[in-house]
Amino acid sequence: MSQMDLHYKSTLRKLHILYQISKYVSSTLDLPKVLKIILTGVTFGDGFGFNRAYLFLADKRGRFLEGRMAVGPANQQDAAAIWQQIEQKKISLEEFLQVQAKQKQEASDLDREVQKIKIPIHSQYLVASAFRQNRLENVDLSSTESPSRALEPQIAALIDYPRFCLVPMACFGRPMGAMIVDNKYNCRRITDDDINFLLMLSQQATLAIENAKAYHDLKKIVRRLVNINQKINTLKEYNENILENIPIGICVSDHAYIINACNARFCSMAHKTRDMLKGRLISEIGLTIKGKNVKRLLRKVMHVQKNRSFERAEYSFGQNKGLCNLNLALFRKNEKELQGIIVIVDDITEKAKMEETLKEFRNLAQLGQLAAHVAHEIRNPLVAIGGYARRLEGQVARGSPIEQESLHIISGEVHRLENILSSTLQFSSQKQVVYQKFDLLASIRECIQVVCSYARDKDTGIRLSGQSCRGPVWVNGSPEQLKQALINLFKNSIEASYGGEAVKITVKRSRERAVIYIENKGKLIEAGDMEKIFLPFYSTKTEGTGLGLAVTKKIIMEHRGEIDVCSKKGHTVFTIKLPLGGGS
Amino acid sequence: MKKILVVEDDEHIRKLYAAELADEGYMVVVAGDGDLGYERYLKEKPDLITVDIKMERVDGIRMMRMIRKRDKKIPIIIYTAYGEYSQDFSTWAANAYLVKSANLEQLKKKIKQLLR
Ligand SMILES: Nc1ncnc2c1ncn2[C@@H]1O[C@H](COP(=O)(O)OP(=O)(O)O)[C@@H](O)[C@H]1O
Ligand SMILES: [Mg+2]
Repeated sequence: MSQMDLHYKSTLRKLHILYQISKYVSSTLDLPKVLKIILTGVTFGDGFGFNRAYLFLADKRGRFLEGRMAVGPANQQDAAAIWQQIEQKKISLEEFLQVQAKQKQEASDLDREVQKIKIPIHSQYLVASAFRQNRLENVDLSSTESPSRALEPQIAALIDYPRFCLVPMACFGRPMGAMIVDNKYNCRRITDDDINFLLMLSQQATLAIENAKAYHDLKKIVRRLVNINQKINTLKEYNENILENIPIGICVSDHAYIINACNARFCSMAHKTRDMLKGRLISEIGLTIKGKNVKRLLRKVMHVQKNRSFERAEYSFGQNKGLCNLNLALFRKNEKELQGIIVIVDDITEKAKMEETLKEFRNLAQLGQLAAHVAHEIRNPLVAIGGYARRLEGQVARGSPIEQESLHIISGEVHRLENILSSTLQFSSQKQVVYQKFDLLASIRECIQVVCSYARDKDTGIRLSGQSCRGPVWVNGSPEQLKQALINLFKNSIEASYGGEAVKITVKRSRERAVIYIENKGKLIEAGDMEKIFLPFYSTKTEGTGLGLAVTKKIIMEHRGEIDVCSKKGHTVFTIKLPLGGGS
Repeated sequence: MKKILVVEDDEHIRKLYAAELADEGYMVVVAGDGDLGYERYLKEKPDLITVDIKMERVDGIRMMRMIRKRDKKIPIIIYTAYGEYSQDFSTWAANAYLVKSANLEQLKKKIKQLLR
């Protein structure tokens, strides 16, 4: 075999090894494994056959070269043993690398030694400057021409052999590490051929290392992304949870009013499952609002592009019925684009009930105040009755004549007590009134009948004015209560009359309301007393209870009516307005 | 004979007090409200005044204030149907505070005590 042939064969083998190395290196993206494969390839007996190989990589901030890994026998004996083993077993590099690629990497003694090395990149020493300039150095410290720069003492101590080759590793012109190979144990010189192959290998190795690093970084980024994604999901779930668990019915539709989503409360209100609701028109799931057309409402909100809300709307939905606050809100993608409409149904039936109860409590508190007033009011008559009774007792005991006046006063005061009692009972009655449609005009005639003899006693009269409307005036309410209210007013007018003019009652219809005027000539009400006269126990009469107007006002208010008074130019007019019942 | 001014707006009670106190041997003058009460006080120069503090027009308290400006010594008895005022008036210029009752014994006792 010629010298040429030998050379050719060795080159082929080396190329094959190079191919093997790059193949295995690209089969893994684990940096330590990549490094190990490269170094193993370099030192494998059948290939490049360097005795030892060390690998250094720049740290992240580019300030130090750090020893990362080393391959080779620790000493001469070790070297002999290993070579013998490989010789006997005839393991090919391929098999060896296969095993290496699978095995978990454990640090060897040599690894540990090299990992202690950390040399500054920005120094004047040999390795550092070669690394910076991306320059291959074939060093022979034993030759007469000593190298241009001094070797880092740390490296000199590590290698402890004068001849070695420093191979820089750079990726796209950016230095990233360096490899040092030597032949300490068989002392073979490093040839130009070796150097050429080392340069090629270095290229391969650099790419592989860079890949592994990039992969490592990518993995980190992916992990971070996964984390972020998890957080976003959690937040999303959280938001959805809030919407889902909120005790307000919420449903979202697209611009064609087809339901996209709704929360649990909405489903339970509708008495339907989510699947039954999704994809259906909002106007066709049984939601009705009293006095409104849901379909038209939705359309209007969309067209006018303005949210709408209704408070205390009477609604029915599935089997639910009650009061709700209804909100129709535009669902916007951005400022210009509409995505659909959000329907929010907040059932306030229970709340309204509570408010009702609260109002009752307030009434009760009023009742308490009333009771206190009554207690005070009845003390005067009681004192008088008791006092005169005692006087009579004394007179009877002494056998002296009985004062007739005492008896008269006692019966008078008892009558006053009765009045206070019945008015109080009326005022504080919590009786549920039964409302019915009745003719107000007929009731007024009856009331006039009731009080006309009383008017005569007081030297006056009471009559229905000819300007009153004819025919029935229908109102909804309790005829008994309204008659009571009217009689109280009639009596007051009769009591205030003087000058012989009869009390005039006028009944009219005005728009949706019945209006009653009660007018008398006589004693006026002072401007400052206009409010006071409606308070319980306000009276300017010695025999008065002060409850008449309080009772009247309460009844009128309960009938959603109004009561007003005007007192001037010798005349006092009370005006009552009541909503008309249908049909009149 | 000692003279007592009774200021009370309830006619029947006014009459009752007048009759009862007259039976006790006092000379009684009456007034139906605070204004009249003050007038009567100036004219009649009574030895003692009883006054209801809750009356329609000038209430008893204002009348008492006006009287006290001229005379710091004259005994004044406040009585009323409103028991809860006693706290507010204990420091007032009145010499006694009574709640209205059909039993006048307490009032009579107080009057006797204050006129001694
Ligand atoms: N038509 C009227 N003209 C003048 N005053 C009136 C008239 N109606 C009511 N009043 C005044 O309002 C007060 C309260 O009336 P009311 O509540 O009926 O109690 P009472 O009739 O027992 O006094 C009366 O005492 C009187 O002063
Ligand atoms: Mg009245």
